[in-house]
Amino acid sequence: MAFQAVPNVAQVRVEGVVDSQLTINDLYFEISGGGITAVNLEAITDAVFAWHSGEVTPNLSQDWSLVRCVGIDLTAADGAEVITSGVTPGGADVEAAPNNVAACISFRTANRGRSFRGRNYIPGIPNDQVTLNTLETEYLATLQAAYALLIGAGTFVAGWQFVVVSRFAAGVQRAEGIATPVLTVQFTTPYVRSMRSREIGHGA
Amino acid sequence: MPPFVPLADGAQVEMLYLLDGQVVENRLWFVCRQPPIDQDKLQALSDGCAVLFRDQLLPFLSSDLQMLSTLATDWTDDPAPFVAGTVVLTSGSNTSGSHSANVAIRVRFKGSSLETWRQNSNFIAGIPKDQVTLNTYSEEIKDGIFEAYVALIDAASGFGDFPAWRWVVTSQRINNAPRTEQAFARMDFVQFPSPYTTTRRKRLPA
Repeated sequence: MAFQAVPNVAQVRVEGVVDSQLTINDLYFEISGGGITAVNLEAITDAVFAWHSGEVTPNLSQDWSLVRCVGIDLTAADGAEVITSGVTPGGADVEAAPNNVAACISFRTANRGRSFRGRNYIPGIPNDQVTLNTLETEYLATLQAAYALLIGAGTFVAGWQFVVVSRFAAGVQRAEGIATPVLTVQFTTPYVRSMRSREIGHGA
Repeated sequence: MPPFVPLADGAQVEMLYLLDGQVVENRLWFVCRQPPIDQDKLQALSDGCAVLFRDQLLPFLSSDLQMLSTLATDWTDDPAPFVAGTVVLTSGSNTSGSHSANVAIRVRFKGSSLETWRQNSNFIAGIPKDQVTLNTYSEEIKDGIFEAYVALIDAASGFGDFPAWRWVVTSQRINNAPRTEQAFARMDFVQFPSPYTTTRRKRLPA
């Protein structure tokens, strides 16, 4: 796909490793005011890394490690890129469920429709947090609270707002991607979800 | 719904399991060695599969998984001339807890045909947690599954008056179109294409 601009939006890619397989979750943030600079891009990337290592990673299995966050300015094809690295193993001293097992958290906006929702498939779920297909209620609440910290204009990092990005409308690529602020995060089901591309032999 | 593709002198056997409230299914194909198929022959096939999987496969699977039944369907015509079922209602033996229903071990079947018919696989559910290290399943469960399916190769001929049935691999499509009749070949090899667990997404609750 050719480059598609999403003005004033930064993508922060959270990268981890479990059983030698790469896991990726993308988060998007929109800047208010004077646009994205190398300085504020580094600020949001550092903040996401710190947030994940402090709020999410401790709840994941020690078999999963946060490796780095990659912040990318989506305003232009030659936009800045910032990388924050530091291997941080999960905090749960319990074996992880197989790679394709994930907890799927949904990001909701004020609008309905697929263009206005996002989600992350959280990897490295400790085996003791899953009974058959069901994730423990308290565990889901903990992860939900962690992601809720990202919500709000300037709340997480001054000048930035957690958004979802839509690149298509009715199957047709938009001229530019659009960003919509996230208002709530939630698990729509207590059951695990599948991330087949993370299986060994499928992913990176 | 895909079109019905008959199997000459053949039958489908579904093994039905229950895992966390969801029905999980695997199926196999057999050809009658003393055609035509009748109700008694089909019942013997269903009963034989039920006993074999209950006694040889379930001991390696989680106690969270319950084998409900087997269902043998005459596949020579639609609607099926004969159908036979066997109630099993037996759980697996391993009490370490089952992985979620989207975690499976794929076992692939290869026949005497030179053609590769990729669809001939079973995805085993109810994988015990203590039989998987991250994504890699143990040799113990691999051997158990292998022995159960290999036993079926010879046992099928004894599901009724010898020689009763032959386990076959089949192909329902060719060049992206349904065949007029399923091609089949004698089932010869039980293989594990990967040492890692694999995904069965549709087995999860909605």
